[in-house]
Amino acid sequence: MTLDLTRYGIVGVEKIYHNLSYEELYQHEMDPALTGYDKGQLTELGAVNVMTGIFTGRSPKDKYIVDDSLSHDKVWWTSDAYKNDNHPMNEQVWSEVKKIAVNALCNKTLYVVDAFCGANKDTRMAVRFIMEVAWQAHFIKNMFIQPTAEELASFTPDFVVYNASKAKVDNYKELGLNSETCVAFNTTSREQVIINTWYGGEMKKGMFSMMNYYLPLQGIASMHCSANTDMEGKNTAIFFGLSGTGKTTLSTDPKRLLIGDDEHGWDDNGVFNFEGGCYAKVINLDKESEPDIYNAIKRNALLENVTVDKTVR
Amino acid sequence: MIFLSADAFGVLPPVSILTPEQTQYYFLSGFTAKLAGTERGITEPTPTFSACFGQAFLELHPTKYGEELVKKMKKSGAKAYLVNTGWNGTGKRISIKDTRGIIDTILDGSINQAPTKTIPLFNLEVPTALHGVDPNILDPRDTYAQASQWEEKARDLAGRFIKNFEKYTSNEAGKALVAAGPKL
Repeated sequence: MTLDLTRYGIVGVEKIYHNLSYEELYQHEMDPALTGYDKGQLTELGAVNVMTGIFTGRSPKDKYIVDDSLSHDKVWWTSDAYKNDNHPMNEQVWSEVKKIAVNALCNKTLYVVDAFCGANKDTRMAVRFIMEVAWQAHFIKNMFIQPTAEELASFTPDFVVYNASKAKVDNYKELGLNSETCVAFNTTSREQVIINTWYGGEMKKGMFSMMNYYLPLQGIASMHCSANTDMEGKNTAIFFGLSGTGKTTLSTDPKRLLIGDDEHGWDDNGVFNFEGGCYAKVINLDKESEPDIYNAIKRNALLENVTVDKTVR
Repeated sequence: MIFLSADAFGVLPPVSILTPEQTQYYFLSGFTAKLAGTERGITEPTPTFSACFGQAFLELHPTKYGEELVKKMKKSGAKAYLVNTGWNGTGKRISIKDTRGIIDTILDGSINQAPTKTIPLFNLEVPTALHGVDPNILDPRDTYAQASQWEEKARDLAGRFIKNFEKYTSNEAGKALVAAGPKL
């Protein structure tokens, strides 16, 4: 059954690739007809490398949260006294940027991936990602928790992400925004739009931000940390730290079971992962000191922004 | 619970055993150094304070995350440690081998049996000997040619912690935590 995207305002769709397998995604991202940042590049270890253009990191100055009657008193808004990345966006501007993203996805061949954020069934978020780039679908499949065939059959999204990485907010000055790039969240309608950045982390950390919004309000700790446990699952350790401080490296310990490397919740039953994959830096990666990360670079893994040697790949 | 800080100042001990109040203080402070490659425009290590070790992803006020974490800690009896994966007086980064050794002693609980001493200014309790860890790095002052060099940097860093924490002192709970931080 073909997915109906008209309910999201996305019309004239040529073809929808819904929840493709790794093999199908590989065929799509390696399609020789692809050009620019759409294009994947096969590496020696079997993983596919992609380039994300000028955005090789998140774009915090372009992050917005819709300020409405429900979010107004809950969100920690940026202020002159204490600056942060939660820039308010009014509902009119939201409808404009959403229109830009939706229009960019109309009359295209699209990829849709349905996945869970959060391993705890009671509190997980069912997220539908809509995009036009095959490797972005691959990124989602790797980073989020893949539903079973049964769960996919009855999948009802709690949250929808519109990834329009090829679009631009041309009238950003008129809308009072920072640039042509926009990453905006509506916590009430439960939607995210991504415009003019190809960096995969906007989708991953975007959903983390949403877990950080919804879970503490339900009395569940939401944490930027890695976590592992002993072989019995009894002696759990959680590691806090910004990216680059060793969260991934220190939690991947061959003597212990990894729970996850970046985002976790803690409820009365214990610590649980939000994600289904790992996102690690591979610059100067050494097989001896970080074997788990090195050995994960193989078929079905996705590399971002790695310079690949033309002869040995 | 382990807080990883990559201290570009070379001041913090490679491992400290935190009191419950220090746990909240260091969680809200979220001190670390940003390393190359994760955000646009950041290419060199720069010291920074990021609430709850992830300010960029917080949608609610930082104290909300602190409250939830403390509730879960109390309920489960979890202990907290501050681990510096950054630099010390040698100018080099603390080795992954030593850091892994430290983590092993936390996980097997042996760190809680180790002899300890208190590092001035920060009032951090540090072990003086740990199995599998170079004993010469456990007190950061020992990694400098002269302890006064450490103290100078430590005073600078302590001042930054104090200044950063001012934003939490608008309520009583925040004020009460100031005592758990460094003192000049």
